[in-house]
Amino acid sequence: MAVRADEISSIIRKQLEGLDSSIKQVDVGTVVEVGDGIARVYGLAGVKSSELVEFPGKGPNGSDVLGMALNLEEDTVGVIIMGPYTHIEEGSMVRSTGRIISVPVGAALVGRVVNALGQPIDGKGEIKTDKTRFIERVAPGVITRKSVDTPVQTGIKVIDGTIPIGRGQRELIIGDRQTGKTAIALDTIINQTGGDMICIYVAIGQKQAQVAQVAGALEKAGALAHTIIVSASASDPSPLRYIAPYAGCSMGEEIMENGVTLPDGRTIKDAVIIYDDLSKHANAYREVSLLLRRPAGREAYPGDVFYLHSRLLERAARLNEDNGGGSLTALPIIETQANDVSAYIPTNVISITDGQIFLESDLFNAGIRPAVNPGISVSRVGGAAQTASMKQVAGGIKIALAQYRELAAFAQFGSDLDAATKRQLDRGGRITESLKQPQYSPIPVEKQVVSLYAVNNGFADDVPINKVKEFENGLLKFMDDVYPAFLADIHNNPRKKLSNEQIDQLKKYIGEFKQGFRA
Amino acid sequence: MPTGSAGRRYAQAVFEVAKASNQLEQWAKDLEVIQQVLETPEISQRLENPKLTRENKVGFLSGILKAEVSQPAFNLVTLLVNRSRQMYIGAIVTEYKQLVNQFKGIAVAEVTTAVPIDEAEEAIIRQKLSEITGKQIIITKKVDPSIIGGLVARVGDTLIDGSVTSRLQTLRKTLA
Repeated sequence: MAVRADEISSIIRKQLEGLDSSIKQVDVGTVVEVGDGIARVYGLAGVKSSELVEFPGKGPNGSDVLGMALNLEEDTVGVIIMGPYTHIEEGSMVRSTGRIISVPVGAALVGRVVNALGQPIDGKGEIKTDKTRFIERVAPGVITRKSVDTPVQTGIKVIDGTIPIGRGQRELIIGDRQTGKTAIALDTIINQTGGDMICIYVAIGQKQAQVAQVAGALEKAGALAHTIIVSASASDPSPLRYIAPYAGCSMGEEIMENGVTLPDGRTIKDAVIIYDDLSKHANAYREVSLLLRRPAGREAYPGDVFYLHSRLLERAARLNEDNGGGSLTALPIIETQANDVSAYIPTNVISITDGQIFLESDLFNAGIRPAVNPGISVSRVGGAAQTASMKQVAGGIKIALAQYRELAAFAQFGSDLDAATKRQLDRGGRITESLKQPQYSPIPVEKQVVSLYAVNNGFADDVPINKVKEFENGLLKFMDDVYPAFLADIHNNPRKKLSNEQIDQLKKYIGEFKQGFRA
Repeated sequence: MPTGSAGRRYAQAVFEVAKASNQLEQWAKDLEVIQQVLETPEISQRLENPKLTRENKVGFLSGILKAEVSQPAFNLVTLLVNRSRQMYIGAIVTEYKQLVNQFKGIAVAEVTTAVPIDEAEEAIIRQKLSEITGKQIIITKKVDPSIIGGLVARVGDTLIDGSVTSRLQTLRKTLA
């Protein structure tokens, strides 16, 4: 290598000369008590609320350990420690930094797995970005917002059809453990491949093996390139689990407000962020609050646990054109115990979000997966978040399913029913069967339109229920192979309803397929 | 270290009385005498004995202290004993001294250097610190070779770090 020694020393000399060697005054305090991730510090008279403070010495992996001053009391300051704390001793000196906690944001984060402080944990090297944002921020005001009018295509038929999600909406995914909540989130992320949204997956309190599994599944589906994974796993200190969702939200806000330019040149202004899950987030906050000796309220949660989630979810918005027109959609996940949605945290988050997707273990065990209960699931945005063609065909589904559920008890009797009832039961059964979908296979919206139209308008009525899935898959493959232009037309014109010619064409195509199917 | 609000409240009251009667120094001396007496093991044990009446304890103390301290100071002793707060005397004295220092604009600075400093250097440091903090400085010295050079001065909650060690650390962070 032809680097000259004197060049190197002159560079170093320049840096030394330009070094700011002024002596600074800092506020300091002394640790009086430390343990369980909390330190009580005597002194720090000028420290402000939520200011970052620095602990002496290095943590086990060599980095500085920072803390956040949360409890400002008469004599002492309660500091939560964001990192390992076993090397901090009673009597150690604590310095204030004058900074508020912030995370790196920008395009350099896309495709990476980071921890709650924005440091990379995927082993793919440093994250070089010059932009940082505070993790706590006041949500955009009323004037800067616009109503939700563009869909987030999850690729899941039952959601896009009956409980559609729009860009800028907050939709809660709620259910017992092992009912498929994370699966819905992952399918949504996978469906954005090749689309115009960046996805952020915030894993709070999960097993590291599970986060690795998620990253692996996304990479296999080619979806990791447009995803940021923020992970505060179960072994991370509770302060990190407490701030992880806010850190992810700041990354999403950067995309919403300033847009992000990907390596292939596209600028993206829409993001979807998934908080998996907020129940563990509330647990982490409860842990931190109890250790700080804040008074315990219902279920031992502190008094401001509603504010904890409301200020997080309010930051998801759709901005109007004057402010860039970007959006941040939030999909928080809550785990219930024994389907009890009237517990404290679930009721809090239900009242904050614009709708919920209920997953039930009964449906899951009966083979209906995704185990969504369309009867009690709601999307308060509704039709405004659907493409025109989808709104056209999906209109009758919710009602058909509601009527089916009402009559479901009579299904036991079978032959003792009148023709109209039997027809309703058959139709409902076929719709339910068609709404089932395997994991990791989101369906683009044009194919959903075709499939829902076919089932909802009786084209599958003569197909035995256990062959409905086969019928549907065959139909979609047929449309792909023989009439791809029809599908492309629907895909490229999201604001256009299906014209009468298109509907006639579709009927013809389905008839054509059915002949082949029978044979 | 935190002294607690009980000590602070009594000290505040004592300070205001002392200031009003212009007896700050006298009170400081009296308080030290009182502290010495109340913290003597035999006396403190006697005061903690629940079987003795308050009059008994006050009378016993008046025999010892009446001659030594002023009347208002003895009133303080009576008040403390009657309320069973005599164990806070240490905190009261510490807080009182801090209040007096604050009032007079005196601050205590702990100055750490790598090598011992002489009188002239100490005077310069004292003057500079006075300029920075705007208060009269009393210096307590400490020698710590691990800072390599320069000095570290801690005045109350403020740290002024001019040690060679911390400048090397800043250098390392900048060059990294």
